[in-house]
Amino acid sequence: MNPEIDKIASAAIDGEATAEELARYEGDPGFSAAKSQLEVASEFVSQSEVPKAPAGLAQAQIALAMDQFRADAAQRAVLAAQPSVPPQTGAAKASKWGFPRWFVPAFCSIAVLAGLGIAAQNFSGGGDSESAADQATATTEAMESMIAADSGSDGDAIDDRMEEGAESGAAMPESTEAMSDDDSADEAMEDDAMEDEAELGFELPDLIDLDGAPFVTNETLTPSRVAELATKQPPIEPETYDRCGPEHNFDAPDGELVLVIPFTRSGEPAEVLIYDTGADGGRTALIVNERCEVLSQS
Amino acid sequence: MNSLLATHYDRIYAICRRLAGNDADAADASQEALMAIVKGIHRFDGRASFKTWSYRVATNAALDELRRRKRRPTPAMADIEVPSTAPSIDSEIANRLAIDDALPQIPEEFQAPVVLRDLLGMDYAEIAATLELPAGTVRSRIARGRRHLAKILEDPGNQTDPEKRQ
Repeated sequence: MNPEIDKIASAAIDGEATAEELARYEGDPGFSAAKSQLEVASEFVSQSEVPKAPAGLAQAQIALAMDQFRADAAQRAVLAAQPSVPPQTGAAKASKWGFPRWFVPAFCSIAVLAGLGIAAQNFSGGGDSESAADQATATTEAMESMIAADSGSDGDAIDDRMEEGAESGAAMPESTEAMSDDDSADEAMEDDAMEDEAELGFELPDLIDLDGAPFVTNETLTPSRVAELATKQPPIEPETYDRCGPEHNFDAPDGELVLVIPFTRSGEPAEVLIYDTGADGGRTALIVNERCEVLSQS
Repeated sequence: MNSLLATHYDRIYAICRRLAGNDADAADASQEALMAIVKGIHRFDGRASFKTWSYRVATNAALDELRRRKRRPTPAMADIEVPSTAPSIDSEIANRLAIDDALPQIPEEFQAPVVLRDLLGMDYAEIAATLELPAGTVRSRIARGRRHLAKILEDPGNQTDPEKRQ
């Protein structure tokens, strides 16, 4: 018995030996003997009956695991609802920059109004630096009071955010202009969805059936949206689909639930990824193709 | 989640059954594996496929069960009747019993690679990912596991380490 020959012979049985390795032992009787001996061992296992669980065991064990899954999910949901968690639900849900969602349109509106006021004063010749500063101060105070009323955050946090806003003040309206309308609509949808989510619990993967298509969620899911998604047939070639991760430039929002619904790849079992929800318990959804390109986003 | 577990259950059980060697320990191991999956799913980072990850969990659960069993008093392997000599049972059961007897005789570190390769048909890269081993180690362990099995099949009564019998 030669361990090196065994290794190559065994790999050759599995088609995992390289051409160079095979060439090295071509015609070697020791290699042929080792290969046939190991082949017997391999076939002994591969031709044995694939063990099947006794009747009823699968259902019983899966049911028990699901009980545990629900219990864990409920516990996480309770933890997420603790007051110590920063307010991230409903109208107070933060945007990706950390501001409350209403903050961006409010900031834009106030900034535009303040700008118009300053321009009007300048245009009428009555503007001086002091009155412009007063306007700016009033604007800042108004935003501070809105933030304080909404989030109950402490002054330092507000100051920090205001400093960020001031530093990027010129760019902010432009970068957020396209967002404001969409965000308002999203916000309204999210508010509605939040009410539904409490009833959905963590059973979403079971509710969605895309007939074997890969599916990543990155939207807030309501029962009606789930039902709608279940009827979709994305143009997907499952054979080339692997999974969506950073290596595919797929960047799921941090802290949000990502579901990949089971699909079949060349007859192989499906894959499902579940990332935890954020502290707000919210869920968002994307539909992606086999290259992890987003096909639709609500 | 339910459909996910149902999709993978058969293979998870098969891994546990082959590695554990009997129905009772396989049932314990597969239940442990399912529990570990549902508890760990929120930490599953997607770097491996769910299949690979879940099979790794199942393999670890089965190996843990094996270790627990070793700490329990059990009949010695030599006391178990060699099934191939029992003509009264049908060949399928005989085959199953034979493999249940043979697999535990090979060292634990070789069992999982052989089972994943020869029972589940996984390629070396998948096995390496599942067992978190270098591909070269997987290759070597499969070869050595098969060599042990070949020796057992050749001479069922002799259970000495074939690697020590040059």
